[in-house]
Amino acid sequence: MSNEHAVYVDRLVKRYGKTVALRGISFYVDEGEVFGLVGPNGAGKTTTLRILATLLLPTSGSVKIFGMDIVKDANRIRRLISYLPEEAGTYKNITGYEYLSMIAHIYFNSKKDIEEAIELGIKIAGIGDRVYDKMKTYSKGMQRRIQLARALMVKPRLAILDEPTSGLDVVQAIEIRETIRYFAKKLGITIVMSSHNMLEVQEICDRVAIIDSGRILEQGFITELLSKYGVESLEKLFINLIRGETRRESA
Amino acid sequence: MRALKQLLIKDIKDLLRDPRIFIPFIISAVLLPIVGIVVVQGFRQSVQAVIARPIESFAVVDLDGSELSKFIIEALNRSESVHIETFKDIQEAIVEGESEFIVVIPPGFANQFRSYVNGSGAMPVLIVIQRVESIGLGIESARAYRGVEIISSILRSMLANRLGISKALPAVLNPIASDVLLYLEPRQVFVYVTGASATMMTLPMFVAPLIVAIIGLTVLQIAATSMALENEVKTFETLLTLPIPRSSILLSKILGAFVVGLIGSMFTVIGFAIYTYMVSAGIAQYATIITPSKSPAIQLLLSLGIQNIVSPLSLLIPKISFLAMIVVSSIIMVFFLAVLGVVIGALSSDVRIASTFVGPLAMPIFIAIYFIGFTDPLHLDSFVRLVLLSIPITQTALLSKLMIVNLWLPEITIGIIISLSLTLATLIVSSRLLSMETLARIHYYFTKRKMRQLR
Repeated sequence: MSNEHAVYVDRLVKRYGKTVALRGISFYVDEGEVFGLVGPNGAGKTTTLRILATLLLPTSGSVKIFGMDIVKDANRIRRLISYLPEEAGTYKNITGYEYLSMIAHIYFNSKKDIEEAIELGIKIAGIGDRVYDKMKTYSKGMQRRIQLARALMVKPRLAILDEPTSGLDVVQAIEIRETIRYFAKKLGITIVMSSHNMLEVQEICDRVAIIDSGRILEQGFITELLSKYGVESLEKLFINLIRGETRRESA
Repeated sequence: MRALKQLLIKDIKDLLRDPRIFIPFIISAVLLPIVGIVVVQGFRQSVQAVIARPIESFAVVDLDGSELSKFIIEALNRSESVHIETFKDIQEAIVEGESEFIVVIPPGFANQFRSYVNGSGAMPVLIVIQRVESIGLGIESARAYRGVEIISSILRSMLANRLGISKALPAVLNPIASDVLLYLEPRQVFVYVTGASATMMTLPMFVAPLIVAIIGLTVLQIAATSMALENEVKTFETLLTLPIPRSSILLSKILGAFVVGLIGSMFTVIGFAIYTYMVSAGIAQYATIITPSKSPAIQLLLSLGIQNIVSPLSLLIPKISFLAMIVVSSIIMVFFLAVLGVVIGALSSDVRIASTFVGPLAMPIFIAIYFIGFTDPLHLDSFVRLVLLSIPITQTALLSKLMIVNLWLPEITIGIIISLSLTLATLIVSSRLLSMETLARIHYYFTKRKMRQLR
């Protein structure tokens, strides 16, 4: 079953001491899909993505990336994925070009591959000659563009993007969204991203999972979910689900 | 290896291009020679004010009114080099006099002097009041003593004339001279030491451990800041998901801080070297340095065929074996502190928290270094000595001090082995720590405790 999916998460639990961050969530992502994890702050989105990115270990349950176990095959998985942390910053005193070059040298061996990756990185970043300036001179939007370029230029099979537009202004956010959509399709990259911006998720993602307090409340294709609940926007669906959950918990 | 090289280059570039890192390096290289200039200038001015300027005038208050006191005042008045003001009482001399000091001949001075000459009384005492603007170096009274010396010589000549021993007077006063040589047991050499050369010796003995501490703290600060910054801007999270071994991430951080710390230390050492040279040379100007050709002791030893005579400065050039040990110890120290810094940085969610951790660490380090600076390693308890020789930073400080006298102790080798093991243990523990899982658990534990305290 899991071999067919790019990501297969089965009854994933994550505990920190007595606190439970994830209460047995299950979802899958097909190859080439853009999948969104939607939820309020503290819902467990970042914990889930960090487990997918091999940063944290599951307490129980299983996670497979392209059929490989996240715990046993972490090193092999790292060759196939790239991860963009939430509010990711940059090294202040090196240039965007030097940073992209470092990443290319880590991932590739041949001069041709390295040059191609850097060229693609520069293209994804789309900041012109500013790529040769120290990154401390970059705006927040430019820093995020470089980080996104870093994540996509190595053509990973799976890109894990944690709140890729958080902290950015509207224009910067739109630019990042367009870049993700365009290059994900062009390079055939599977994407798992988190966001609390419903509009953004509705615009980029094919399928979503709505997560709250470490539980997945609902998941599926956006259009199907909207018609199932008879609402016109993901925002309304989200509010209905969260409130319903709250009512159930208080009852 | 390829990934390690890439990360290392990135770390070194990122650190060396950071003004917060390189400006302190330049400041230490430039500031220390400036401090040297200020110290030497201050010393020179003080010395000139006190010693170099001749005594031109002083006031005398004669409360004795004896034949002897009148004789002294007449003799002083006859002198062409000094001008004398005479007063009847001290208050008047202070208010109306202009001289920088006032010599008071107390009542009964002549009688006391007479008894002293006859061998039946205590040495007569003149009272001197020195005017000063401030009290600082502790050499303010030197000029007053020089003034009294003028009166002493008047009385000395008078006595010599009366006793008919004018010609023999120098021999009576100083029948013999001496020329002292030191024999340094650990090195089995004779050393000719004067005031100035002793300063040249003691300064590096105290300064060397201090340089070690500064270098150590620089490395610690760089490593902690660099790692904490990775946490702060979340680049560390990214690094941990790259297809590179965890050891490469840890090693690149440690080696980055190590290399940059060494470059920075070079600036500090150059600055200190210039400072030490300036201060030593400045002090040496005012002290007589015995040269081998003028020293009777050295001439005698040389004529007897004894060759192992060295200058104190040559002691500062260490033996190769000792120097090699210092280099090993320094590398262990810098590496240990780089590991410690990376651990502190990894545990800190931002640079400010890292600085909060590093700050209090500086205090015990400096206390230990001052202790080593002032203490005589030979008279330390052997257990304390072994402990000091086993902890990476105190080890280098103590070794640098022992190196100057070339004093090899059996504990040195054991200490090096212990410190090396300690460093490797820290490295292994920190490589375990350097995973998001462990850091997240530690972070969660502290956050939860904080939350509980807030409640």
